[in-house]
Amino acid sequence: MAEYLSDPEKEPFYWDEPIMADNLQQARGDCTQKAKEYKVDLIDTVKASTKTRKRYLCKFRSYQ
Amino acid sequence: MQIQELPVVMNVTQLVFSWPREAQYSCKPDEYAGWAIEDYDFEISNNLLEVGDARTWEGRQWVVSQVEEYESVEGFEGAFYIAVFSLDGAAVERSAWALPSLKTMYVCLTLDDALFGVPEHPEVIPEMGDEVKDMPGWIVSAVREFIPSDNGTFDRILVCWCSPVEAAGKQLPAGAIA
Repeated sequence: MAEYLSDPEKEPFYWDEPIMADNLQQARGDCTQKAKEYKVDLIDTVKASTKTRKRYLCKFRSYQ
Repeated sequence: MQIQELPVVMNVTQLVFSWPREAQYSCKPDEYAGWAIEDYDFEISNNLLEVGDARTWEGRQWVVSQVEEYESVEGFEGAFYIAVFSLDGAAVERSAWALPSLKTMYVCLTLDDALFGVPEHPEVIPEMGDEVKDMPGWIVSAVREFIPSDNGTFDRILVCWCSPVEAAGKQLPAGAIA
Protein backbone atom coordinates (compact mmCIF):
# COMPACT_ATOMS: atom_id res chain seq x y z
CA MET A 1 0.00 0.00 0.00
CA ALA A 2 1.24 3.49 -0.79
CA GLU A 3 2.40 5.55 2.14
CA TYR A 4 1.82 9.27 2.26
CA LEU A 5 4.68 10.86 4.14
CA SER A 6 4.37 14.54 3.32
CA ASP A 7 6.78 15.49 6.08
CA PRO A 8 8.26 12.71 8.20
CA GLU A 9 9.41 15.22 10.80
CA LYS A 10 5.84 16.17 11.60
CA GLU A 11 3.90 14.37 14.27
CA PRO A 12 1.54 11.79 12.80
CA PHE A 13 -2.17 12.43 13.13
CA TYR A 14 -4.42 9.45 13.76
CA TRP A 15 -8.16 9.14 13.37
CA ASP A 16 -10.92 6.56 12.90
CA GLU A 17 -13.86 6.44 10.55
CA PRO A 18 -16.76 4.05 11.16
CA ILE A 19 -18.15 2.15 8.22
CA MET A 20 -20.72 -0.55 7.54
CA ALA A 21 -19.67 -3.68 5.67
CA ASP A 22 -20.87 -7.21 5.11
CA ASN A 23 -17.60 -8.84 6.13
CA LEU A 24 -14.08 -8.04 7.26
CA GLN A 25 -12.67 -8.51 3.78
CA GLN A 26 -15.09 -5.97 2.34
CA ALA A 27 -14.42 -3.58 5.22
CA ARG A 28 -10.68 -3.72 4.58
CA GLY A 29 -11.27 -3.05 0.89
CA ASP A 30 -13.53 -0.06 1.64
CA CYS A 31 -10.99 1.32 4.11
CA THR A 32 -8.22 0.94 1.53
CA GLN A 33 -10.29 2.85 -0.99
CA LYS A 34 -10.98 5.66 1.45
CA ALA A 35 -7.27 5.92 2.29
CA LYS A 36 -6.48 6.36 -1.40
CA GLU A 37 -9.16 9.04 -1.76
CA TYR A 38 -7.93 10.91 1.30
CA LYS A 39 -4.26 10.37 0.36
CA VAL A 40 -3.44 9.06 3.83
CA ASP A 41 -2.22 5.75 5.25
CA LEU A 42 -4.61 3.03 6.27
CA ILE A 43 -3.03 1.47 9.34
CA ASP A 44 -5.74 -0.91 10.57
CA THR A 45 -9.22 -2.27 9.87
CA VAL A 46 -11.02 -3.18 13.08
CA LYS A 47 -14.19 -4.94 14.15
CA ALA A 48 -14.45 -3.09 17.41
CA SER A 49 -17.02 -5.33 19.09
CA THR A 50 -18.85 -8.53 18.28
CA LYS A 51 -21.95 -7.03 19.92
CA THR A 52 -22.57 -4.72 16.99
CA ARG A 53 -22.89 -6.46 13.66
CA LYS A 54 -21.58 -5.04 10.37
CA ARG A 55 -19.83 -2.08 12.01
CA TYR A 56 -16.11 -1.58 11.43
CA LEU A 57 -13.49 1.10 11.96
CA CYS A 58 -11.01 2.32 9.38
CA LYS A 59 -7.93 3.65 11.15
CA PHE A 60 -5.92 6.24 9.30
CA ARG A 61 -2.66 8.11 9.76
CA SER A 62 -1.49 11.26 8.07
CA TYR A 63 1.37 13.70 8.41
CA GLN A 64 -0.42 16.77 7.10
CA MET B 1 -13.42 -9.99 34.54
CA GLN B 2 -11.05 -11.31 37.18
CA ILE B 3 -7.76 -12.64 35.92
CA GLN B 4 -7.98 -15.54 38.35
CA GLU B 5 -11.16 -16.71 36.60
CA LEU B 6 -9.36 -17.42 33.35
CA PRO B 7 -9.29 -21.06 32.38
CA VAL B 8 -6.01 -22.93 32.54
CA VAL B 9 -6.05 -24.45 29.05
CA MET B 10 -8.47 -23.17 26.49
CA ASN B 11 -9.02 -23.06 22.79
CA VAL B 12 -10.09 -19.79 21.22
CA THR B 13 -12.34 -20.08 18.19
CA GLN B 14 -13.48 -17.35 15.88
CA LEU B 15 -16.99 -18.26 14.79
CA VAL B 16 -17.72 -17.02 11.28
CA PHE B 17 -21.41 -17.11 10.42
CA SER B 18 -21.75 -17.02 6.66
CA TRP B 19 -25.22 -15.94 5.59
CA PRO B 20 -26.79 -16.97 2.29
CA ARG B 21 -25.76 -14.58 -0.48
CA GLU B 22 -29.04 -12.72 -0.58
CA ALA B 23 -29.46 -8.97 -0.39
CA GLN B 24 -31.90 -9.25 2.50
CA TYR B 25 -28.99 -10.21 4.77
CA SER B 26 -26.70 -7.43 3.59
CA CYS B 27 -26.10 -4.23 5.55
CA LYS B 28 -26.47 -2.41 2.22
CA PRO B 29 -29.27 -4.33 0.50
CA ASP B 30 -29.75 -1.68 -2.18
CA GLU B 31 -26.09 -1.89 -3.20
CA TYR B 32 -25.58 -5.59 -2.62
CA ALA B 33 -23.54 -7.20 -5.41
CA GLY B 34 -23.11 -10.79 -4.34
CA TRP B 35 -20.29 -10.71 -1.82
CA ALA B 36 -20.23 -12.97 1.21
CA ILE B 37 -22.11 -11.77 4.27
CA GLU B 38 -20.47 -12.66 7.57
CA ASP B 39 -20.98 -12.08 11.25
CA TYR B 40 -18.47 -13.00 13.91
CA ASP B 41 -18.31 -14.19 17.45
CA PHE B 42 -15.71 -15.87 19.62
CA GLU B 43 -15.82 -18.95 21.79
CA ILE B 44 -13.39 -19.77 24.55
CA SER B 45 -13.76 -23.42 25.42
CA ASN B 46 -12.10 -26.77 25.88
CA ASN B 47 -14.36 -28.10 23.15
CA LEU B 48 -13.07 -28.53 19.62
CA LEU B 49 -15.48 -27.67 16.84
CA GLU B 50 -15.49 -30.07 13.91
CA VAL B 51 -17.18 -30.01 10.53
CA GLY B 52 -20.82 -30.93 11.05
CA ASP B 53 -21.05 -29.58 14.61
CA ALA B 54 -23.97 -27.26 15.26
CA ARG B 55 -24.40 -24.02 17.18
CA THR B 56 -27.41 -21.81 17.78
CA TRP B 57 -26.75 -18.14 17.09
CA GLU B 58 -29.23 -15.28 16.62
CA GLY B 59 -32.07 -17.76 16.95
CA ARG B 60 -30.92 -19.93 14.05
CA GLN B 61 -29.21 -23.30 13.84
CA TRP B 62 -25.76 -23.12 12.20
CA VAL B 63 -23.49 -25.97 11.08
CA VAL B 64 -19.69 -25.92 10.85
CA SER B 65 -18.59 -26.26 7.23
CA GLN B 66 -14.85 -25.69 7.56
CA VAL B 67 -12.23 -25.23 10.26
CA GLU B 68 -8.73 -23.71 10.21
CA GLU B 69 -6.36 -24.56 13.04
CA TYR B 70 -3.55 -22.39 14.38
CA GLU B 71 -1.07 -23.74 16.91
CA SER B 72 0.74 -21.93 19.67
CA VAL B 73 4.17 -20.60 18.79
CA GLU B 74 5.17 -20.67 22.45
CA GLY B 75 4.17 -24.31 22.86
CA PHE B 76 1.20 -23.64 25.13
CA GLU B 77 -1.67 -26.08 25.20
CA GLY B 78 -4.75 -24.76 23.47
CA ALA B 79 -5.06 -23.57 19.91
CA PHE B 80 -6.81 -20.93 17.85
CA TYR B 81 -9.45 -21.95 15.34
CA ILE B 82 -11.48 -20.24 12.66
CA ALA B 83 -14.75 -22.13 12.26
CA VAL B 84 -16.95 -21.15 9.33
CA PHE B 85 -20.65 -21.87 9.71
CA SER B 86 -23.43 -22.02 7.17
CA LEU B 87 -27.13 -22.56 7.73
CA ASP B 88 -27.18 -25.86 5.85
CA GLY B 89 -23.65 -27.06 6.57
CA ALA B 90 -22.61 -26.72 2.94
CA ALA B 91 -19.16 -25.35 2.17
CA VAL B 92 -19.18 -21.60 1.72
CA GLU B 93 -17.12 -19.41 -0.55
CA ARG B 94 -15.74 -16.52 1.45
CA SER B 95 -14.93 -13.22 -0.20
CA ALA B 96 -11.42 -13.05 -1.60
CA TRP B 97 -8.88 -11.62 0.78
CA ALA B 98 -6.66 -8.74 -0.19
CA LEU B 99 -4.76 -9.00 3.04
CA PRO B 100 -2.13 -6.54 4.22
CA SER B 101 1.40 -7.80 3.72
CA LEU B 102 1.51 -8.68 7.41
CA LYS B 103 -1.18 -11.37 6.92
CA THR B 104 -1.83 -11.01 10.64
CA MET B 105 -5.06 -10.85 12.59
CA TYR B 106 -5.08 -9.75 16.21
CA VAL B 107 -7.89 -10.48 18.61
CA CYS B 108 -8.48 -8.71 21.93
CA LEU B 109 -10.64 -10.78 24.26
CA THR B 110 -12.52 -10.03 27.43
CA LEU B 111 -14.96 -12.47 28.95
CA ASP B 112 -17.95 -10.78 27.31
CA ASP B 113 -16.70 -9.08 24.17
CA ALA B 114 -14.05 -9.23 21.49
CA LEU B 115 -12.31 -6.86 19.12
CA PHE B 116 -10.28 -7.95 16.13
CA GLY B 117 -8.39 -6.30 13.34
CA VAL B 118 -6.14 -6.75 10.35
CA PRO B 119 -3.24 -4.33 10.81
CA GLU B 120 -1.31 -2.75 7.96
CA HIS B 121 1.62 -1.83 10.21
CA PRO B 122 3.14 -3.62 13.23
CA GLU B 123 2.85 -0.42 15.28
CA VAL B 124 -0.90 -0.86 15.74
CA ILE B 125 -0.72 -4.41 17.08
CA PRO B 126 -1.53 -4.28 20.81
CA GLU B 127 1.26 -5.24 23.15
CA MET B 128 1.39 -6.39 26.74
CA GLY B 129 0.41 -3.51 29.01
CA ASP B 130 -1.26 -1.45 26.30
CA GLU B 131 -4.71 -0.04 26.92
CA VAL B 132 -6.98 -1.26 24.13
CA LYS B 133 -7.96 1.93 22.30
CA ASP B 134 -11.40 0.78 21.26
CA MET B 135 -12.17 -0.97 24.54
CA PRO B 136 -11.80 1.81 27.11
CA GLY B 137 -10.86 0.52 30.55
CA TRP B 138 -9.29 -2.70 29.26
CA ILE B 139 -5.59 -3.44 29.18
CA VAL B 140 -3.67 -6.22 27.44
CA SER B 141 -2.53 -8.60 30.16
CA ALA B 142 -1.08 -11.36 27.96
CA VAL B 143 -0.39 -11.99 24.29
CA ARG B 144 -0.22 -15.40 22.67
CA GLU B 145 0.92 -16.04 19.11
CA PHE B 146 -0.45 -18.73 16.82
CA ILE B 147 0.59 -19.91 13.36
CA PRO B 148 -1.34 -22.11 10.94
CA SER B 149 -1.05 -25.85 11.49
CA ASP B 150 -1.66 -26.32 7.78
CA ASN B 151 -2.76 -23.76 5.23
CA GLY B 152 -4.37 -20.81 6.94
CA THR B 153 -5.98 -17.57 5.86
CA PHE B 154 -3.48 -15.76 8.07
CA ASP B 155 0.24 -16.29 8.64
CA ARG B 156 -0.10 -15.23 12.25
CA ILE B 157 -2.84 -14.81 14.84
CA LEU B 158 -2.18 -12.76 17.97
CA VAL B 159 -4.58 -13.29 20.86
CA CYS B 160 -4.52 -10.50 23.42
CA TRP B 161 -6.14 -11.36 26.71
CA CYS B 162 -7.49 -8.25 28.36
CA SER B 163 -8.14 -7.33 31.95
CA PRO B 164 -9.76 -4.30 33.50
CA VAL B 165 -7.23 -1.56 34.09
CA GLU B 166 -7.68 -1.86 37.85
CA ALA B 167 -6.81 -5.60 37.70
CA ALA B 168 -3.62 -5.09 35.73
CA GLY B 169 -0.54 -6.40 37.45
CA LYS B 170 -2.20 -9.39 39.05
CA GLN B 171 -0.48 -12.67 38.38
CA LEU B 172 -1.85 -15.19 35.91
CA PRO B 173 -2.46 -18.74 37.09
CA ALA B 174 0.34 -21.16 36.25
CA GLY B 175 -0.17 -22.80 32.88
CA ALA B 176 -2.85 -20.38 31.74
CA ILE B 177 -2.77 -19.41 28.12
CA ALA B 178 -4.04 -16.03 29.18
